[in-house]
Amino acid sequence: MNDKLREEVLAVLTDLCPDVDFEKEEALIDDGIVESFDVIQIVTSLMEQFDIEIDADDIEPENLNSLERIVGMVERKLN
Amino acid sequence: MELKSAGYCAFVFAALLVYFCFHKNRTLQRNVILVSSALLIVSLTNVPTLLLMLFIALTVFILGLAIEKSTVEGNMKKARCLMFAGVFFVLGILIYFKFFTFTFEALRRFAAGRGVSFGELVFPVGLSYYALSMTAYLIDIYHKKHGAEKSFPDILEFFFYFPSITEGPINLYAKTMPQLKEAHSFDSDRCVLGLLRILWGYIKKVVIADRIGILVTGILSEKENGGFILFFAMLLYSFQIYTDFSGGIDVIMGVSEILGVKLTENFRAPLVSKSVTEFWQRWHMSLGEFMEKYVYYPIVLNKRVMKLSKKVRWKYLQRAFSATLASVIVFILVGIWHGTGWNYVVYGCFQAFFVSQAVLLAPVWKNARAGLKINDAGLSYRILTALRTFLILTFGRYFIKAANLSNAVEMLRRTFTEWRFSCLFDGSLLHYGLDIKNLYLMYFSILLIIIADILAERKVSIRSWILSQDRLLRYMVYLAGVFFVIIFGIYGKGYDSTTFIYQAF
Repeated sequence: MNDKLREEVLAVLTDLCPDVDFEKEEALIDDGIVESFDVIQIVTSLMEQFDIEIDADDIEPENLNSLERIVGMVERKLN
Repeated sequence: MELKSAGYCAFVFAALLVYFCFHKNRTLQRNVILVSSALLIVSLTNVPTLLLMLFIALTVFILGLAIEKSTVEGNMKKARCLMFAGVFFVLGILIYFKFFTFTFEALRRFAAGRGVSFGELVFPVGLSYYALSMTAYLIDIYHKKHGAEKSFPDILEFFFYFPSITEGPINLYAKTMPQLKEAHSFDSDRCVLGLLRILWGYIKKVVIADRIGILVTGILSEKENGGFILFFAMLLYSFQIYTDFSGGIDVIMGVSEILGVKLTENFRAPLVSKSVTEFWQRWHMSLGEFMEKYVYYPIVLNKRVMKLSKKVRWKYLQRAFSATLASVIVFILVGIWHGTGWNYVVYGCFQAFFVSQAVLLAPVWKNARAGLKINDAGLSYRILTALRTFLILTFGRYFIKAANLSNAVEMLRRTFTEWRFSCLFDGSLLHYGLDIKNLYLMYFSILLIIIADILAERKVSIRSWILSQDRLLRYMVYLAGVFFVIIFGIYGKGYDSTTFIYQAF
Protein backbone atom coordinates (compact mmCIF):
# COMPACT_ATOMS: atom_id res chain seq x y z
CA MET A 1 0.00 0.00 0.00
CA ASN A 2 1.16 3.49 -0.82
CA ASP A 3 2.54 4.88 2.46
CA LYS A 4 2.43 8.48 1.31
CA LEU A 5 -1.22 8.15 0.35
CA ARG A 6 -1.94 6.47 3.67
CA GLU A 7 -0.38 9.38 5.56
CA GLU A 8 -2.29 11.94 3.52
CA VAL A 9 -5.62 10.17 4.09
CA LEU A 10 -4.87 9.81 7.79
CA ALA A 11 -4.13 13.54 8.00
CA VAL A 12 -7.53 14.35 6.44
CA LEU A 13 -9.35 11.96 8.78
CA THR A 14 -7.59 13.11 11.95
CA ASP A 15 -8.19 16.72 11.05
CA LEU A 16 -11.96 16.08 10.79
CA CYS A 17 -12.40 13.66 13.70
CA PRO A 18 -9.54 14.28 16.14
CA ASP A 19 -11.13 12.06 18.81
CA VAL A 20 -11.08 8.89 16.69
CA ASP A 21 -8.07 6.56 16.62
CA PHE A 22 -8.07 5.72 12.90
CA GLU A 23 -4.95 3.56 13.22
CA LYS A 24 -6.82 1.19 15.51
CA GLU A 25 -10.52 1.19 14.64
CA GLU A 26 -11.75 -1.56 12.35
CA ALA A 27 -15.50 -0.91 12.35
CA LEU A 28 -15.87 2.86 11.98
CA ILE A 29 -19.28 2.57 10.31
CA ASP A 30 -20.61 -0.67 11.81
CA ASP A 31 -19.94 0.47 15.38
CA GLY A 32 -21.19 3.98 14.72
CA ILE A 33 -17.82 5.53 15.62
CA VAL A 34 -18.23 7.94 12.72
CA GLU A 35 -21.78 9.18 12.17
CA SER A 36 -23.46 10.21 8.96
CA PHE A 37 -22.34 13.83 9.17
CA ASP A 38 -18.73 12.75 9.85
CA VAL A 39 -18.98 10.42 6.85
CA ILE A 40 -20.11 13.36 4.71
CA GLN A 41 -17.23 15.50 5.95
CA ILE A 42 -14.71 12.70 5.33
CA VAL A 43 -16.00 11.89 1.87
CA THR A 44 -16.22 15.50 0.66
CA SER A 45 -12.76 16.28 2.06
CA LEU A 46 -11.27 13.24 0.30
CA MET A 47 -12.98 14.31 -2.92
CA GLU A 48 -11.44 17.78 -2.68
CA GLN A 49 -8.01 16.68 -1.49
CA PHE A 50 -7.47 13.98 -4.11
CA ASP A 51 -9.73 15.35 -6.84
CA ILE A 52 -11.71 12.13 -7.06
CA GLU A 53 -15.42 11.36 -7.34
CA ILE A 54 -17.13 9.39 -4.63
CA ASP A 55 -20.77 8.46 -5.14
CA ALA A 56 -23.50 7.70 -2.64
CA ASP A 57 -23.29 3.99 -3.47
CA ASP A 58 -19.60 4.01 -2.48
CA ILE A 59 -20.67 4.82 1.08
CA GLU A 60 -20.61 1.27 2.37
CA PRO A 61 -18.96 -0.20 5.47
CA GLU A 62 -16.64 -2.21 3.22
CA ASN A 63 -15.19 1.05 1.84
CA LEU A 64 -15.13 3.05 5.05
CA ASN A 65 -14.84 0.79 8.08
CA SER A 66 -11.10 1.30 8.62
CA LEU A 67 -8.21 3.50 7.52
CA GLU A 68 -6.96 0.70 5.25
CA ARG A 69 -10.33 0.39 3.56
CA ILE A 70 -10.63 4.15 3.06
CA VAL A 71 -7.12 4.29 1.56
CA GLY A 72 -8.04 1.33 -0.67
CA MET A 73 -11.11 3.17 -1.94
CA VAL A 74 -9.14 6.36 -2.63
CA GLU A 75 -6.48 4.30 -4.44
CA ARG A 76 -9.13 2.67 -6.67
CA LYS A 77 -10.66 6.03 -7.46
CA LEU A 78 -7.27 7.50 -8.37
CA ASN A 79 -6.49 4.73 -10.85
CA MET B 1 -55.03 -11.95 13.40
CA GLU B 2 -53.28 -9.49 15.68
CA LEU B 3 -49.76 -10.18 16.95
CA LYS B 4 -51.07 -10.45 20.50
CA SER B 5 -54.00 -12.74 19.73
CA ALA B 6 -54.08 -16.38 20.73
CA GLY B 7 -54.79 -17.12 17.07
CA TYR B 8 -51.45 -15.65 16.06
CA CYS B 9 -49.58 -17.70 18.67
CA ALA B 10 -51.28 -20.91 17.51
CA PHE B 11 -50.58 -20.02 13.89
CA VAL B 12 -46.87 -19.42 14.56
CA PHE B 13 -46.61 -22.61 16.59
CA ALA B 14 -48.14 -24.65 13.76
CA ALA B 15 -45.90 -22.97 11.17
CA LEU B 16 -42.76 -23.69 13.25
CA LEU B 17 -43.78 -27.28 13.78
CA VAL B 18 -44.23 -27.97 10.06
CA TYR B 19 -41.12 -25.91 9.21
CA PHE B 20 -38.84 -28.04 11.38
CA CYS B 21 -40.39 -31.27 10.09
CA PHE B 22 -38.57 -30.41 6.85
CA HIS B 23 -35.31 -29.37 8.49
CA LYS B 24 -33.07 -30.85 5.81
CA ASN B 25 -35.01 -29.57 2.86
CA ARG B 26 -34.61 -25.90 2.08
CA THR B 27 -37.26 -25.90 -0.70
CA LEU B 28 -39.92 -27.38 1.54
CA GLN B 29 -39.01 -24.98 4.35
CA ARG B 30 -39.38 -22.10 1.90
CA ASN B 31 -42.77 -23.41 0.86
CA VAL B 32 -43.88 -23.56 4.50
CA ILE B 33 -42.93 -19.90 4.86
CA LEU B 34 -44.73 -19.00 1.64
CA VAL B 35 -47.93 -20.78 2.69
CA SER B 36 -47.73 -19.18 6.15
CA SER B 37 -47.26 -15.74 4.59
CA ALA B 38 -50.20 -16.28 2.24
CA LEU B 39 -52.45 -17.43 5.10
CA LEU B 40 -51.44 -14.49 7.28
CA ILE B 41 -51.96 -11.98 4.46
CA VAL B 42 -55.40 -13.39 3.59
CA SER B 43 -56.43 -13.44 7.26
CA LEU B 44 -55.44 -9.77 7.61
CA THR B 45 -56.75 -8.61 4.23
CA ASN B 46 -58.44 -10.69 1.50
CA VAL B 47 -57.65 -12.79 -1.58
CA PRO B 48 -57.74 -9.91 -4.13
CA THR B 49 -55.18 -8.03 -1.98
CA LEU B 50 -52.95 -11.11 -1.93
CA LEU B 51 -53.20 -11.24 -5.72
CA LEU B 52 -52.32 -7.56 -5.95
CA MET B 53 -49.27 -8.16 -3.74
CA LEU B 54 -48.21 -11.08 -5.96
CA PHE B 55 -48.55 -8.83 -9.00
CA ILE B 56 -46.34 -6.15 -7.37
CA ALA B 57 -43.72 -8.77 -6.46
CA LEU B 58 -43.79 -10.29 -9.96
CA THR B 59 -43.26 -6.87 -11.55
CA VAL B 60 -40.31 -6.13 -9.25
CA PHE B 61 -38.90 -9.62 -9.90
CA ILE B 62 -39.02 -9.15 -13.69
CA LEU B 63 -37.64 -5.60 -13.50
CA GLY B 64 -34.79 -6.86 -11.28
CA LEU B 65 -33.81 -9.42 -13.93
CA ALA B 66 -34.09 -6.80 -16.70
CA ILE B 67 -31.92 -4.30 -14.79
CA GLU B 68 -29.28 -6.97 -14.22
CA LYS B 69 -29.32 -7.95 -17.91
CA SER B 70 -28.84 -4.32 -18.96
CA THR B 71 -25.95 -3.78 -16.54
CA VAL B 72 -24.24 -6.96 -17.77
CA GLU B 73 -24.63 -5.75 -21.37
CA GLY B 74 -23.13 -2.42 -20.32
CA ASN B 75 -26.30 -0.52 -21.22
CA MET B 76 -26.39 1.58 -18.05
CA LYS B 77 -28.81 4.09 -19.54
CA LYS B 78 -31.42 1.38 -20.04
CA ALA B 79 -30.65 -0.09 -16.61
CA ARG B 80 -31.16 3.35 -15.07
CA CYS B 81 -34.52 3.81 -16.85
CA LEU B 82 -35.68 0.37 -15.68
CA MET B 83 -34.51 1.04 -12.13
CA PHE B 84 -36.39 4.34 -12.00
CA ALA B 85 -39.47 2.73 -13.57
CA GLY B 86 -39.42 0.07 -10.85
CA VAL B 87 -38.88 2.56 -8.03
CA PHE B 88 -41.71 4.81 -9.30
CA PHE B 89 -43.97 1.78 -9.70
CA VAL B 90 -43.41 0.52 -6.14
CA LEU B 91 -43.41 3.91 -4.45
CA GLY B 92 -46.33 4.99 -6.65
CA ILE B 93 -48.41 2.15 -5.26
CA LEU B 94 -47.35 3.05 -1.71
CA ILE B 95 -48.21 6.72 -2.27
CA TYR B 96 -51.55 5.78 -3.85
CA PHE B 97 -52.54 3.63 -0.88
CA LYS B 98 -51.38 6.26 1.62
CA PHE B 99 -52.87 9.35 -0.01
CA PHE B 100 -55.25 8.68 -2.85
CA THR B 101 -57.55 5.82 -1.89
CA PHE B 102 -60.37 8.38 -1.77
CA THR B 103 -60.33 8.33 -5.60
CA PHE B 104 -61.17 4.62 -5.50
CA GLU B 105 -63.98 5.29 -3.03
CA ALA B 106 -65.39 7.98 -5.31
CA LEU B 107 -65.25 5.57 -8.25
CA ARG B 108 -66.96 2.90 -6.16
CA ARG B 109 -69.79 5.26 -5.19
CA PHE B 110 -70.14 6.41 -8.79
CA ALA B 111 -70.36 2.78 -9.98
CA ALA B 112 -72.78 1.86 -7.19
CA GLY B 113 -75.08 4.64 -8.38
CA ARG B 114 -75.20 2.86 -11.74
CA GLY B 115 -75.86 -0.54 -10.28
CA VAL B 116 -72.27 -1.83 -10.55
CA SER B 117 -70.67 -2.91 -7.33
CA PHE B 118 -67.14 -4.00 -6.52
CA GLY B 119 -65.23 -4.72 -3.34
CA GLU B 120 -63.52 -2.32 -1.01
CA LEU B 121 -59.88 -1.36 -1.45
CA VAL B 122 -57.90 -2.92 1.40
CA PHE B 123 -54.46 -1.59 2.33
CA PRO B 124 -51.99 -4.38 1.47
CA VAL B 125 -50.61 -5.41 4.84
CA GLY B 126 -46.98 -4.37 5.38
CA LEU B 127 -46.81 -2.36 2.14
CA SER B 128 -44.96 0.49 3.92
CA TYR B 129 -42.18 -1.97 4.81
CA TYR B 130 -41.73 -4.21 1.78
CA ALA B 131 -42.22 -1.29 -0.66
CA LEU B 132 -38.95 0.06 0.77
CA SER B 133 -37.30 -3.39 0.65
CA MET B 134 -38.29 -3.65 -3.01
CA THR B 135 -36.99 -0.14 -3.77
CA ALA B 136 -33.64 -0.94 -2.13
CA TYR B 137 -33.52 -4.27 -4.01
CA LEU B 138 -33.89 -2.58 -7.44
CA ILE B 139 -31.43 0.24 -6.67
CA ASP B 140 -28.82 -2.22 -5.40
CA ILE B 141 -29.08 -4.36 -8.54
CA TYR B 142 -28.52 -1.20 -10.61
CA HIS B 143 -25.46 -0.35 -8.51
CA LYS B 144 -24.23 -3.98 -8.90
CA LYS B 145 -24.25 -4.50 -5.13
CA HIS B 146 -25.86 -7.85 -5.74
CA GLY B 147 -27.43 -9.75 -8.62
CA ALA B 148 -31.13 -10.14 -9.34
CA GLU B 149 -32.91 -13.06 -7.72
CA LYS B 150 -33.47 -15.85 -10.26
CA SER B 151 -36.18 -17.73 -8.39
CA PHE B 152 -39.63 -16.17 -8.08
CA PRO B 153 -40.66 -18.24 -5.01
CA ASP B 154 -37.41 -17.19 -3.29
CA ILE B 155 -38.02 -13.51 -3.89
CA LEU B 156 -41.61 -13.92 -2.67
CA GLU B 157 -40.28 -15.46 0.50
CA PHE B 158 -37.97 -12.48 0.99
CA PHE B 159 -40.55 -9.77 0.24
CA PHE B 160 -43.41 -11.35 2.21
CA TYR B 161 -41.47 -13.18 4.94
CA PHE B 162 -44.35 -13.78 7.37
CA PRO B 163 -42.70 -12.87 10.71
CA SER B 164 -41.83 -9.35 9.56
CA ILE B 165 -44.72 -8.58 7.25
CA THR B 166 -46.88 -6.73 9.80
CA GLU B 167 -44.46 -4.30 11.49
CA GLY B 168 -41.13 -4.66 9.69
CA PRO B 169 -38.18 -4.39 10.15
CA ILE B 170 -37.37 -3.27 6.61
CA ASN B 171 -35.24 -6.14 5.30
CA LEU B 172 -32.42 -5.66 2.85
CA TYR B 173 -31.84 -8.38 0.26
CA ALA B 174 -28.07 -8.63 0.79
CA LYS B 175 -28.51 -9.22 4.53
CA THR B 176 -31.62 -11.39 4.71
CA MET B 177 -31.71 -13.45 1.51
CA PRO B 178 -28.50 -15.45 2.13
CA GLN B 179 -29.99 -16.62 5.45
CA LEU B 180 -33.30 -17.54 3.83
CA LYS B 181 -31.48 -19.59 1.20
CA GLU B 182 -30.15 -22.00 3.83
CA ALA B 183 -31.99 -24.96 5.34
CA HIS B 184 -32.37 -24.55 9.10
CA SER B 185 -32.44 -27.36 11.60
CA PHE B 186 -34.00 -27.04 15.00
CA ASP B 187 -31.63 -25.64 17.62
CA SER B 188 -32.81 -25.74 21.24
CA ASP B 189 -30.62 -22.85 22.45
CA ARG B 190 -31.76 -20.68 19.58
CA CYS B 191 -35.34 -21.69 20.29
CA VAL B 192 -35.11 -20.74 23.97
CA LEU B 193 -33.48 -17.40 23.10
CA GLY B 194 -36.22 -16.76 20.55
CA LEU B 195 -38.98 -17.71 23.00
CA LEU B 196 -37.50 -15.43 25.67
CA ARG B 197 -37.46 -12.58 23.20
CA ILE B 198 -41.10 -13.30 22.26
CA LEU B 199 -42.02 -13.38 25.95
CA TRP B 200 -40.28 -10.04 26.56
CA GLY B 201 -42.08 -8.65 23.53
CA TYR B 202 -45.45 -9.70 24.90
CA ILE B 203 -44.61 -8.25 28.33
CA LYS B 204 -43.82 -4.95 26.64
CA LYS B 205 -46.89 -4.97 24.43
CA VAL B 206 -49.64 -6.61 26.45
CA VAL B 207 -48.63 -5.78 30.00
CA ILE B 208 -46.96 -2.39 29.58
CA ALA B 209 -48.04 -0.63 26.38
CA ASP B 210 -51.71 -1.61 26.59
CA ARG B 211 -51.87 -0.70 30.29
CA ILE B 212 -50.32 2.74 29.66
CA GLY B 213 -52.69 3.06 26.70
CA ILE B 214 -55.77 2.94 28.95
CA LEU B 215 -54.58 5.96 30.94
CA VAL B 216 -53.34 7.88 27.90
CA THR B 217 -56.61 7.40 26.00
CA GLY B 218 -58.61 8.24 29.12
CA ILE B 219 -56.79 11.51 29.80
CA LEU B 220 -56.62 12.65 26.18
CA SER B 221 -60.27 11.88 25.42
CA GLU B 222 -61.44 14.43 28.00
CA LYS B 223 -61.11 17.68 26.12
CA GLU B 224 -61.21 19.81 29.28
CA ASN B 225 -57.94 18.23 30.46
CA GLY B 226 -55.05 20.66 30.17
CA GLY B 227 -51.84 21.68 31.86
CA PHE B 228 -49.63 19.11 33.51
CA ILE B 229 -52.03 16.16 33.33
CA LEU B 230 -52.15 16.48 29.55
CA PHE B 231 -48.37 16.69 29.35
CA PHE B 232 -48.11 13.72 31.71
CA ALA B 233 -50.32 11.73 29.33
CA MET B 234 -47.99 12.62 26.47
CA LEU B 235 -44.96 11.55 28.50
CA LEU B 236 -46.70 8.23 29.10
CA TYR B 237 -47.56 8.06 25.41
CA SER B 238 -43.82 8.21 24.65
CA PHE B 239 -43.37 5.05 26.74
CA GLN B 240 -46.48 3.49 25.23
CA ILE B 241 -45.36 3.97 21.64
CA TYR B 242 -41.89 2.62 22.47
CA THR B 243 -43.08 -0.50 24.29
CA ASP B 244 -45.83 -1.12 21.75
CA PHE B 245 -43.58 -0.89 18.71
CA SER B 246 -40.46 -2.50 20.16
CA GLY B 247 -42.58 -5.20 21.84
CA GLY B 248 -44.08 -6.10 18.48
CA ILE B 249 -40.61 -6.13 16.94
CA ASP B 250 -39.32 -8.39 19.74
CA VAL B 251 -42.07 -10.91 18.97
CA ILE B 252 -41.17 -10.76 15.26
CA MET B 253 -37.42 -11.05 15.89
CA GLY B 254 -38.00 -13.94 18.30
CA VAL B 255 -40.11 -15.91 15.81
CA SER B 256 -37.52 -15.30 13.11
CA GLU B 257 -34.68 -16.27 15.46
CA ILE B 258 -36.35 -19.64 16.08
CA LEU B 259 -36.65 -20.08 12.30
CA GLY B 260 -32.89 -19.43 12.08
CA VAL B 261 -33.05 -16.03 10.38
CA LYS B 262 -31.57 -13.02 12.14
CA LEU B 263 -33.35 -9.87 11.05
CA THR B 264 -31.95 -6.33 11.28
CA GLU B 265 -32.35 -4.88 14.78
CA ASN B 266 -34.81 -2.00 14.90
CA PHE B 267 -34.02 -0.55 18.35
CA ARG B 268 -30.87 0.04 20.35
CA ALA B 269 -31.87 1.41 23.78
CA PRO B 270 -33.45 4.65 22.48
CA LEU B 271 -34.30 5.87 26.00
CA VAL B 272 -30.63 6.64 26.70
CA SER B 273 -30.25 8.87 23.60
CA LYS B 274 -28.34 12.02 24.41
CA SER B 275 -29.67 13.95 21.42
CA VAL B 276 -32.44 13.83 18.82
CA THR B 277 -29.81 12.83 16.25
CA GLU B 278 -28.69 9.93 18.42
CA PHE B 279 -32.32 8.94 19.03
CA TRP B 280 -32.83 8.44 15.31
CA GLN B 281 -29.77 6.19 15.21
CA ARG B 282 -31.40 4.02 17.88
CA TRP B 283 -35.10 4.13 16.93
CA HIS B 284 -36.60 2.30 13.94
CA MET B 285 -33.08 1.66 12.73
CA SER B 286 -34.06 -0.26 9.61
CA LEU B 287 -36.01 2.78 8.36
CA GLY B 288 -33.06 5.00 9.35
CA GLU B 289 -30.64 2.80 7.43
CA PHE B 290 -32.87 2.89 4.36
CA MET B 291 -33.22 6.68 4.52
CA GLU B 292 -29.50 7.22 5.09
CA LYS B 293 -28.45 4.96 2.24
CA TYR B 294 -31.05 5.77 -0.39
CA VAL B 295 -32.05 9.38 0.38
CA TYR B 296 -29.54 11.18 2.65
CA TYR B 297 -26.21 10.27 0.99
CA PRO B 298 -27.51 10.56 -2.58
CA ILE B 299 -28.77 14.09 -1.82
CA VAL B 300 -25.61 15.22 -0.03
CA LEU B 301 -23.32 13.87 -2.75
CA ASN B 302 -25.53 15.06 -5.60
CA LYS B 303 -23.47 17.25 -7.96
CA ARG B 304 -26.07 20.03 -8.11
CA VAL B 305 -26.42 20.13 -4.33
CA MET B 306 -22.63 20.21 -3.96
CA LYS B 307 -22.41 23.04 -6.48
CA LEU B 308 -25.11 24.94 -4.61
CA SER B 309 -23.35 24.41 -1.28
CA LYS B 310 -20.13 25.92 -2.73
CA LYS B 311 -21.95 29.26 -2.76
CA VAL B 312 -22.07 29.23 1.02
CA ARG B 313 -19.30 31.32 2.54
CA TRP B 314 -17.62 29.31 5.30
CA LYS B 315 -16.11 25.91 4.65
CA TYR B 316 -17.83 24.28 7.60
CA LEU B 317 -21.21 25.70 6.60
CA GLN B 318 -20.67 24.50 3.03
CA ARG B 319 -20.73 20.91 4.27
CA ALA B 320 -23.39 21.58 6.86
CA PHE B 321 -25.61 23.13 4.19
CA SER B 322 -25.99 19.98 2.11
CA ALA B 323 -26.31 17.81 5.23
CA THR B 324 -29.05 20.10 6.56
CA LEU B 325 -30.93 20.09 3.28
CA ALA B 326 -30.74 16.29 3.16
CA SER B 327 -31.87 16.00 6.81
CA VAL B 328 -34.93 18.18 6.17
CA ILE B 329 -35.94 16.07 3.17
CA VAL B 330 -35.29 12.78 5.01
CA PHE B 331 -37.35 13.78 8.04
CA ILE B 332 -40.26 15.13 6.01
CA LEU B 333 -40.27 11.74 4.24
CA VAL B 334 -40.04 9.94 7.60
CA GLY B 335 -42.97 12.09 8.79
CA ILE B 336 -45.25 11.30 5.87
CA TRP B 337 -44.18 7.65 5.91
CA HIS B 338 -45.84 7.51 9.35
CA GLY B 339 -49.15 8.89 8.15
CA THR B 340 -50.98 11.32 5.94
CA GLY B 341 -51.79 14.88 7.02
CA TRP B 342 -49.94 18.11 7.66
CA ASN B 343 -49.31 17.12 11.27
CA TYR B 344 -46.92 14.41 10.00
CA VAL B 345 -45.09 16.94 7.82
CA VAL B 346 -44.72 19.22 10.85
CA TYR B 347 -43.56 16.18 12.87
CA GLY B 348 -40.83 15.60 10.27
CA CYS B 349 -39.82 19.29 10.25
CA PHE B 350 -39.71 19.27 14.06
CA GLN B 351 -37.21 16.39 14.04
CA ALA B 352 -35.26 17.96 11.16
CA PHE B 353 -34.94 21.21 13.13
CA PHE B 354 -33.23 19.52 16.07
CA VAL B 355 -31.02 17.31 13.91
CA SER B 356 -29.99 20.23 11.67
CA GLN B 357 -29.26 22.67 14.47
CA ALA B 358 -26.94 20.04 15.98
CA VAL B 359 -24.98 19.94 12.72
CA LEU B 360 -25.04 23.68 11.99
CA LEU B 361 -24.19 24.75 15.52
CA ALA B 362 -21.89 21.84 16.42
CA PRO B 363 -18.81 24.10 16.80
CA VAL B 364 -20.83 26.55 18.96
CA TRP B 365 -22.07 23.79 21.30
CA LYS B 366 -18.59 22.30 21.50
CA ASN B 367 -17.05 25.63 22.52
CA ALA B 368 -19.87 26.26 24.98
CA ARG B 369 -19.26 22.89 26.68
CA ALA B 370 -15.53 23.57 26.82
CA GLY B 371 -16.12 27.11 28.13
CA LEU B 372 -18.47 25.92 30.85
CA LYS B 373 -16.10 23.04 31.65
CA ILE B 374 -18.87 20.47 31.17
CA ASN B 375 -17.64 16.90 31.21
CA ASP B 376 -19.71 15.33 28.43
CA ALA B 377 -18.64 11.83 29.43
CA GLY B 378 -19.91 12.34 33.01
CA LEU B 379 -22.97 10.50 34.32
CA SER B 380 -24.90 13.63 35.30
CA TYR B 381 -24.43 15.09 31.82
CA ARG B 382 -25.61 11.84 30.25
CA ILE B 383 -28.71 11.71 32.45
CA LEU B 384 -29.59 15.35 31.85
CA THR B 385 -29.15 15.10 28.09
CA ALA B 386 -31.22 11.88 27.99
CA LEU B 387 -34.02 13.64 29.91
CA ARG B 388 -33.81 16.69 27.65
CA THR B 389 -34.02 14.48 24.55
CA PHE B 390 -36.99 12.59 25.97
CA LEU B 391 -38.81 15.87 26.65
CA ILE B 392 -38.12 17.22 23.16
CA LEU B 393 -39.33 14.00 21.57
CA THR B 394 -42.45 14.02 23.72
CA PHE B 395 -43.36 17.47 22.38
CA GLY B 396 -42.74 16.13 18.88
CA ARG B 397 -45.20 13.30 19.52
CA TYR B 398 -48.08 15.78 19.90
CA PHE B 399 -48.01 15.91 16.11
CA ILE B 400 -48.43 12.18 15.61
CA LYS B 401 -50.85 11.62 18.47
CA ALA B 402 -53.23 14.38 17.39
CA ALA B 403 -55.76 13.65 14.65
CA ASN B 404 -54.59 16.62 12.60
CA LEU B 405 -52.43 19.73 12.75
CA SER B 406 -55.01 22.06 14.31
CA ASN B 407 -55.77 19.41 16.93
CA ALA B 408 -52.04 19.17 17.75
CA VAL B 409 -51.72 22.94 18.08
CA GLU B 410 -54.82 23.03 20.25
CA MET B 411 -53.39 20.26 22.48
CA LEU B 412 -50.12 22.18 22.81
CA ARG B 413 -52.05 25.34 23.69
CA ARG B 414 -53.98 23.45 26.37
CA THR B 415 -50.73 22.00 27.74
CA PHE B 416 -49.39 25.44 28.54
CA THR B 417 -52.18 26.36 30.89
CA GLU B 418 -52.22 25.71 34.63
CA TRP B 419 -49.58 23.14 35.70
CA ARG B 420 -51.00 21.35 38.72
CA PHE B 421 -48.52 18.65 39.74
CA SER B 422 -50.83 17.48 42.55
CA CYS B 423 -52.85 15.58 39.92
CA LEU B 424 -50.25 12.82 40.29
CA PHE B 425 -51.11 12.26 43.95
CA ASP B 426 -54.69 13.43 44.55
CA GLY B 427 -56.38 10.52 42.85
CA SER B 428 -57.13 12.41 39.60
CA LEU B 429 -55.40 9.65 37.63
CA LEU B 430 -57.78 7.01 38.97
CA HIS B 431 -60.73 8.21 36.87
CA TYR B 432 -59.44 6.88 33.59
CA GLY B 433 -59.78 3.12 33.88
CA LEU B 434 -56.73 2.13 35.94
CA ASP B 435 -57.13 1.51 39.66
CA ILE B 436 -54.35 2.16 42.15
CA LYS B 437 -52.77 -1.32 41.81
CA ASN B 438 -52.73 -1.06 38.04
CA LEU B 439 -51.28 2.42 38.29
CA TYR B 440 -48.43 1.21 40.48
CA LEU B 441 -47.87 -1.72 38.16
CA MET B 442 -47.64 0.76 35.29
CA TYR B 443 -45.03 2.88 37.11
CA PHE B 444 -43.11 -0.28 37.98
CA SER B 445 -43.13 -1.47 34.38
CA ILE B 446 -41.94 1.91 33.12
CA LEU B 447 -39.03 1.64 35.54
CA LEU B 448 -38.40 -1.86 34.19
CA ILE B 449 -38.21 -0.53 30.65
CA ILE B 450 -35.75 2.20 31.63
CA ILE B 451 -33.55 -0.36 33.44
CA ALA B 452 -33.76 -2.69 30.43
CA ASP B 453 -32.51 0.09 28.15
CA ILE B 454 -29.66 0.98 30.51
CA LEU B 455 -28.61 -2.70 30.70
CA ALA B 456 -28.84 -3.04 26.93
CA GLU B 457 -26.64 0.03 26.58
CA ARG B 458 -24.10 -1.60 28.89
CA LYS B 459 -24.26 -4.68 26.67
CA VAL B 460 -25.69 -6.84 29.46
CA SER B 461 -27.68 -9.64 27.84
CA ILE B 462 -30.36 -10.84 30.24
CA ARG B 463 -31.33 -13.61 27.83
CA SER B 464 -27.83 -15.10 27.80
CA TRP B 465 -27.68 -14.76 31.60
CA ILE B 466 -30.95 -16.69 32.00
CA LEU B 467 -29.69 -19.34 29.61
CA SER B 468 -26.51 -19.80 31.66
CA GLN B 469 -28.43 -20.55 34.89
CA ASP B 470 -29.26 -24.02 36.17
CA ARG B 471 -32.40 -25.70 34.96
CA LEU B 472 -34.60 -25.04 38.01
CA LEU B 473 -33.99 -21.29 37.99
CA ARG B 474 -34.41 -21.12 34.23
CA TYR B 475 -37.81 -22.82 34.35
CA MET B 476 -38.88 -20.58 37.21
CA VAL B 477 -38.01 -17.52 35.12
CA TYR B 478 -39.89 -18.87 32.09
CA LEU B 479 -42.98 -19.67 34.16
CA ALA B 480 -42.86 -16.33 35.96
CA GLY B 481 -42.67 -14.55 32.61
CA VAL B 482 -45.57 -16.47 31.11
CA PHE B 483 -47.74 -15.94 34.20
CA PHE B 484 -46.78 -12.27 34.25
CA VAL B 485 -48.17 -11.90 30.73
CA ILE B 486 -51.28 -13.98 31.41
CA ILE B 487 -52.14 -12.37 34.74
CA PHE B 488 -51.18 -8.77 34.11
CA GLY B 489 -51.85 -8.56 30.38
CA ILE B 490 -54.60 -6.32 29.07
CA TYR B 491 -56.88 -8.29 26.79
CA GLY B 492 -59.58 -6.82 24.58
CA LYS B 493 -62.09 -4.07 25.07
CA GLY B 494 -64.02 -5.92 27.75
CA TYR B 495 -61.20 -5.44 30.21
CA ASP B 496 -62.43 -4.13 33.52
CA SER B 497 -59.75 -2.68 35.77
CA THR B 498 -61.75 -3.31 38.91
CA THR B 499 -61.38 -7.07 38.47
CA PHE B 500 -57.66 -7.55 38.97
CA ILE B 501 -57.15 -11.03 37.59
CA TYR B 502 -54.46 -12.15 40.05
CA GLN B 503 -56.95 -11.83 42.90
CA ALA B 504 -58.62 -15.00 41.68
CA PHE B 505 -55.47 -17.05 42.41
